[in-house]
Amino acid sequence: MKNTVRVERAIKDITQQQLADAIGVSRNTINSIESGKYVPSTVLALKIARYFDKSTDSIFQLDEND
Amino acid sequence: MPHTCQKVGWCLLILSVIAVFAKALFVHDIDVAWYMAKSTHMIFIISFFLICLSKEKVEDEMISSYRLKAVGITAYVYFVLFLILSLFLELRLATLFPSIPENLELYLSEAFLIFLPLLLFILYFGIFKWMLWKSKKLQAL
Repeated sequence: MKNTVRVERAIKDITQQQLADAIGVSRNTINSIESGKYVPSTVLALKIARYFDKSTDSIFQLDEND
Repeated sequence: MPHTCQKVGWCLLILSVIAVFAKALFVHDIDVAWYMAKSTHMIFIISFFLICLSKEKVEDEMISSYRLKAVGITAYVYFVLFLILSLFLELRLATLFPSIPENLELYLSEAFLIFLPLLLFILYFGIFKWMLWKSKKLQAL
């Protein structure tokens, strides 16, 4: 699954740590999500989408391999 | 258990390692050495359980998934170890290789049973920390 968390974060001009603090995870988790190493749960994906005030599927999209 | 327990566990572990060296270097009385060995062994086990069972600083869902994976891998490693030991006992390799002491099979199975809980915790903790280190290394890149 690919995502645009890094882009959204750049638009909002916030650091990984700020996003991590806002949604209650570690910076390591945010970094892993951005680099595609970790696929977040539905709850976490919804929290991220709500934080950026976007729909979940505009941030998270299925990959060709999914 | 809270993250503070992990710090307490590490302190106890360091203390038990220091105690082992202190016993080897300074204690010559057999009784004192025996009591020190027993208490050091207990402290070592308690410290390891404290380290393994306490939470990370930020315990989120990725950490939970790593823990779950580590438990899975530990189970596989345990099965492999069990299989190797079973084969060793069943095939009675000691009779095939005369150089192996006769009671080695018994000693191995006893040692396996006695140290099994500690072995599983060490395996689980090692795998979990390795996964965490790998993801942090990725973050540093």
